[in-house]
Amino acid sequence: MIEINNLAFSFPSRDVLQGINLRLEEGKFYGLLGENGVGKTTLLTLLCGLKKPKSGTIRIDGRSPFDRQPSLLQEQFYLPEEVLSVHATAAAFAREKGVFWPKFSMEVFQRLLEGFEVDARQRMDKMSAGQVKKTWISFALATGVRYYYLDEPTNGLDIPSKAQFRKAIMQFTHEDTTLIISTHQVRDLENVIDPIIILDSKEVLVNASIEEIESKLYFDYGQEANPAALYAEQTPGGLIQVYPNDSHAVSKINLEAFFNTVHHHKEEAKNLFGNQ
Amino acid sequence: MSETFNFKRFSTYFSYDLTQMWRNKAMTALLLGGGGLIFFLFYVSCNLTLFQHLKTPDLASRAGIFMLCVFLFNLFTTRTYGFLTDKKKGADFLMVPASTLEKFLSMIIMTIIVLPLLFILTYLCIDAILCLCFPLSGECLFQAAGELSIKNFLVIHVHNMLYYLFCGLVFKRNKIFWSIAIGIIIGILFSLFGISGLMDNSTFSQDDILQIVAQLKRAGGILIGAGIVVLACGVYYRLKTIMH
Repeated sequence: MIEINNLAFSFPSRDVLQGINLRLEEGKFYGLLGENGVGKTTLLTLLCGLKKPKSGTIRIDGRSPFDRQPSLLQEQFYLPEEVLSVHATAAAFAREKGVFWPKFSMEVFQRLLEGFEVDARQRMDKMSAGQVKKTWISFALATGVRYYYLDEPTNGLDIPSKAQFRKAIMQFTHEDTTLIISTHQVRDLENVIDPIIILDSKEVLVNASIEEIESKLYFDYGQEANPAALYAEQTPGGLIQVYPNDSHAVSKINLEAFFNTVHHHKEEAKNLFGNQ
Repeated sequence: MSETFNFKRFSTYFSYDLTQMWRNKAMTALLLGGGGLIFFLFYVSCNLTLFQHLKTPDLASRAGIFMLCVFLFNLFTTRTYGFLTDKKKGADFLMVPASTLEKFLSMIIMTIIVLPLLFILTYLCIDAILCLCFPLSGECLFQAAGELSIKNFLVIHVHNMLYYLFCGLVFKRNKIFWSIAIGIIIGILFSLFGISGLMDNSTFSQDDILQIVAQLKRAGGILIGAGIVVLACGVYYRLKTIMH
């Protein structure tokens, strides 16, 4: 369980997060969305202990991540957007580093790499950026930790690898695994992330499950414009419109349209999802 | 399992650190260790080309080149763990599941013992072999080093290594420049302090001079000892609080 209370963080030149309150439950794959610069990466680095909160607290199973206690580090994995290339083969890299995570499985690592079609005998400094990323994703999932903080994991992946990434996440995580994925590529992860957290500059606009979103908003894919729509977007096949789901009708969420709805109606979104 | 120090976890971390150092930094230490050989070959080839006779470098010039290589090795220490200030590499280091104390101890052993040993042993062994093959070069550095105070050498070595390690962890850019610049500034400040102390007395007797020398030695020892403690605490504190 991750509990964030009144979290604030600022860089010398600007404030990033202010008064953030979140409660992240076990076994859920959170999608962390937000515009550029609102503090998604900062929040992830605060969660994994790379940064110290300016004020407020983060507690992960009662522990503060900035203490960087080995027992907590063994239960978490932070995958940055830009990963490091090392002067070793993928297999040697995993063998040497994997010893620090008690549940790390070399077999799982090899299987994941095969799925991504990366040769474990290849040197990482000779790989393309996408292959290095796939190696890190494979390593991360092979650690078998409880908390994953993934920053734009699908950036730089080719189309088959994005599908493989979704498959790997579903296959190699456990019931108690908590994933927090920061992404702009919502279509890549549309069927994976649930609940959705939308960060605005300095605050949380939405923290809601897909079910809750679909119960409160109606996603209309018809041809006729609805004047009550909070958001409307012309697509090649017609329109996507989002409006309050007063009639409790069933519809399928479109994450991009949902994000844009929240982005254009921040106060309404906060009221609707109880984040005032 | 203790969150501060666990021997099994430390040994795992140390062997990991050793592998990384061997892969990424050992080549530089070995290259500097071969500095004497490079100088020897350069000296001999210059003499053969310019004067058409075989002349090998004497002890004084070899000792001078050794001191230069030691200085370059000290500067290299700023880069040994300097990657910690890099966003990607630093984050990767901090996220390895070992405690700050374990990482600190491994860093200290690597910086003060492992890499310097690799460098010095390589250098002195090559020098000894050259002296065996070319006896006209005179005494080898191994023998000459025997006349120095090992205790003083070790204390100064530990101090220097900690200083350059600390500079490498503190400065994000131009690590070598800043470590030299700050070293020079500290040196000037202490020299001025010493000179101002001497200026108080206008005349010195023989006993006064002996007393002053003894006091300076004592003060120097205290300063270096205090420096070691302060720098070690500084390195640990930096590791504990560094953010990315």
